[in-house]
Amino acid sequence: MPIYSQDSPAYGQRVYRNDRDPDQSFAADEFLFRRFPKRSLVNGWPTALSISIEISIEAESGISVNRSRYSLPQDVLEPDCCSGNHRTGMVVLEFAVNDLPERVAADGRDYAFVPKRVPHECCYAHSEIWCNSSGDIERACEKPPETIRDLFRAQLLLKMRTMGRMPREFPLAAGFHSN
Amino acid sequence: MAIFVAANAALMNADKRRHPAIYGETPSSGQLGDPRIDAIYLRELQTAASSGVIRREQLYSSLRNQLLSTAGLKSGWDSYSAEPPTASARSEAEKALEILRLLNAEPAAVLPSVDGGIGICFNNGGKYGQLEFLNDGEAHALLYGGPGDPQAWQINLAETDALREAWKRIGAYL
Repeated sequence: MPIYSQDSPAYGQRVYRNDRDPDQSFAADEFLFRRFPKRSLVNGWPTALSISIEISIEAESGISVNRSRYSLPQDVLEPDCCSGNHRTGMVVLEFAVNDLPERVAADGRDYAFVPKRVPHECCYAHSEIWCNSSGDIERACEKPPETIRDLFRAQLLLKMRTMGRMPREFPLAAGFHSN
Repeated sequence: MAIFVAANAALMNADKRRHPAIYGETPSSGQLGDPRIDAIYLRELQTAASSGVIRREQLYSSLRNQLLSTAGLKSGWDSYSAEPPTASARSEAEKALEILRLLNAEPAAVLPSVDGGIGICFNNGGKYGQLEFLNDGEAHALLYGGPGDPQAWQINLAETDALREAWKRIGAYL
């Protein structure tokens, strides 16, 4: 059941997979949405300390995001897109596909960051930012070293700031209260 | 009698016109009477509160509180899979705060790091810097928002002046 949107047929049609096929095409100006702890904002902006790059080699997963073609920004806060958890105290970061630094290099190594569609049954918009040295989403995801992770975050945050993409906050739907 | 008072007042006024600097001075302690102790305390407190030293001590007290508040974080505190900072990462950050205090640095915040650890952030307008103390014992610095590309580097905490050097670079950038 949604807690940031009204429970309606439109919500179910938008958020659930409903037997739809994955759509791997991302427009350059399509937005990606990601949760961010509100208490980690500094002067209203996210910092590199709190943009997680939770790439898991074992689980073959990249950086989790929702894509705007199939979702609203607040959907990323819904239990349906948070493994059933109620998330409060969060804001939503939004950045365009072409805000992502294509390649980040340091210490003689470089990595590509590319969006990849990974729909879930209860969150069709779910996607991941895939990272490896080839830039091929069909190849295994690689966890870059800390310096590359920091530079990726810095470049993304700078782009967001330049484009004036302030974090967005959404109220809980009527009848729900934050803990 | 009336003539004498009027003449005296006229003389005083003439004297005031002749020596405006003397008569424009603030009243002497003798003219004011006994000083009020509460007014003295208030004035001293106001002076102290506006001084850089007191302001910086208040800032560091707040930063240490921010560091303490990270002790209760659980795994996944960022709503994804971030690990909470360990006691050793918090201890390194605490030591760094003490060094930064002595160097008159003014960090903007102390925050948990999603890579597992503690970060100390600095900002000045759109320019941003951070020191990060990770759970695995590594330390890193990052600068962005200023002229040129973002800069990231590892800090070798085993070196005596590593943090001073890092702050020197961050301070110059900001």
